[in-house]
Amino acid sequence: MHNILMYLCGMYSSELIKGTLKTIVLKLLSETKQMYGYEITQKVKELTDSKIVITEGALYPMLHQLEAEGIVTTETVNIGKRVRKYYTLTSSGEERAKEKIFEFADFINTMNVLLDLKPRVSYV
Amino acid sequence: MFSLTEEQIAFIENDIRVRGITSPDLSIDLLDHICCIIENSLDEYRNFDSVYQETLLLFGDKGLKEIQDETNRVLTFKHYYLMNSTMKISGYVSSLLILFGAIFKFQHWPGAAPLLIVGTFFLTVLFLPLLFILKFKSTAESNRSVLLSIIGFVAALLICCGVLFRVMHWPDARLISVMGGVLLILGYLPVYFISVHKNTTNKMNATATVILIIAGVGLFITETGTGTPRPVSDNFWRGVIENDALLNSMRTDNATMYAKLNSSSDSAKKDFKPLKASADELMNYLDEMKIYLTAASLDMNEEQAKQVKLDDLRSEGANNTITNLLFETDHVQSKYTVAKMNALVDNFKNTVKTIDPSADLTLLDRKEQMVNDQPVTWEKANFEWMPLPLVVYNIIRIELAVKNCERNALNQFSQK
Repeated sequence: MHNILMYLCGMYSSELIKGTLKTIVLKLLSETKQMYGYEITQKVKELTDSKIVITEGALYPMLHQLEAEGIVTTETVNIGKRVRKYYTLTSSGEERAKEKIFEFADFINTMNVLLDLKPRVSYV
Repeated sequence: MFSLTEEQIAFIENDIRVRGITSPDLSIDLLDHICCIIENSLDEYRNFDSVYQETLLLFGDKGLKEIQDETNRVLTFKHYYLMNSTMKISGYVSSLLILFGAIFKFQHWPGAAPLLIVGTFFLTVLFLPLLFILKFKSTAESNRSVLLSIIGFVAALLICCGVLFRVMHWPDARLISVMGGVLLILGYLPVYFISVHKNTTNKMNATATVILIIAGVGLFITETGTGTPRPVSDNFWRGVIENDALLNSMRTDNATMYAKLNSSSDSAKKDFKPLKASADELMNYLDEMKIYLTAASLDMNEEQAKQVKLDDLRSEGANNTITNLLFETDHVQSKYTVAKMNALVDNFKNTVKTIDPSADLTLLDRKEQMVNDQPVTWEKANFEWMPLPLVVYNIIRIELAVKNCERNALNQFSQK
């Protein structure tokens, strides 16, 4: 039991996180009208109790890719002496967010069945 | 929460640039991000410099530059989905076209050539380049894998074109295939072997791939070098070639005899005109028939078929195109048929008979023949389900017989 708890509390393996990042970011953007990069990392940290930490090295390349694909648009706002870039979902981005979330929920259900997770969790 | 001063922000902005962030767009993101982290970490006990240095550590060993590199990679890859789906679609389309082209070619249905050409075009112009671009983008860290992709692409392109050229009977097919094979073995394999050699887990795969490529290319080159199916033996084929040479010499001999008769002062000797007309008509028909059947069988036009040498026909197999044309079966309309040929042969025989009633024309008889212990009509035994080389040979035999009978008749004239 100790091992299971340690695993759940610790950082997930990067392989596991890699495929979910886009879904997480799209979900956050679909809930909050516009967000800037740092805000996204903090929000994820806060929501997951620091179990999932999005690194800058993963976040910004992905945000720029989403922008290039027309899934998000950006708006710059002057914050004192620096500029802050806000990311907002486009209408096709909202569709994409829904698809991604649905796909992932379905994936979790499948994994539940496949790994027989529920009985084991209740057993622990 | 502390707020950074204008100087501090300017310092960070400059430092980011010094650390290799050249993209203004990313620079805005990173500046704001770093400022946010620092502002949330600063307190009265810590100074800006130490917090800034700690913040930079968060970005890992390779630092900020790696974020820019990754962003660039992702952005140059923004058409990834489009490229990926184009690759898949072009792959499906080309393989389907080539598959149908092959079936059409085997069945000698019309349209095989465009199917194969368009299929190979999709394969070489869309599928292969995209495959190699996507493959090297996803794995390429080193120059070696870029080189590997380029060599692999060129080799695959050459081999595909070589096969297409061969199937279409275009020139230099063998040269192109062999160049592709040699490039694959001497260029691709060594680079491939070196690049995976260090990776122990891949060694087994690499060895298997190398063996498969060498064996495949070896067989391919052997196949293109020899031309596989040889339905007729060397000995027999030598006879065919010799008969063809004999026919040509008889053509010359008979022409000389006509010239002699023509120059003769004896007017009776000049009555050869009906014989010459009948023989020429038949011979022209038979010559054109050979070209017509060669063109139909090899999917080429008659001008191209004229260039085909008799020896090149040797490996051609049997097909129903020839049978359908010769017998006008399967709703096929044909310019040259066994029936029309027989009519012309009979006409020639009659002409010879009028000149010399005792002429021996048995060489032109169409007797039943025994095939597998069964009596079969002369037409079926000689022309049904025969491979092109044998059909052509049987026509040559008829031509030899015609020339022989013509010569005998000519001898009659000269003795008059």
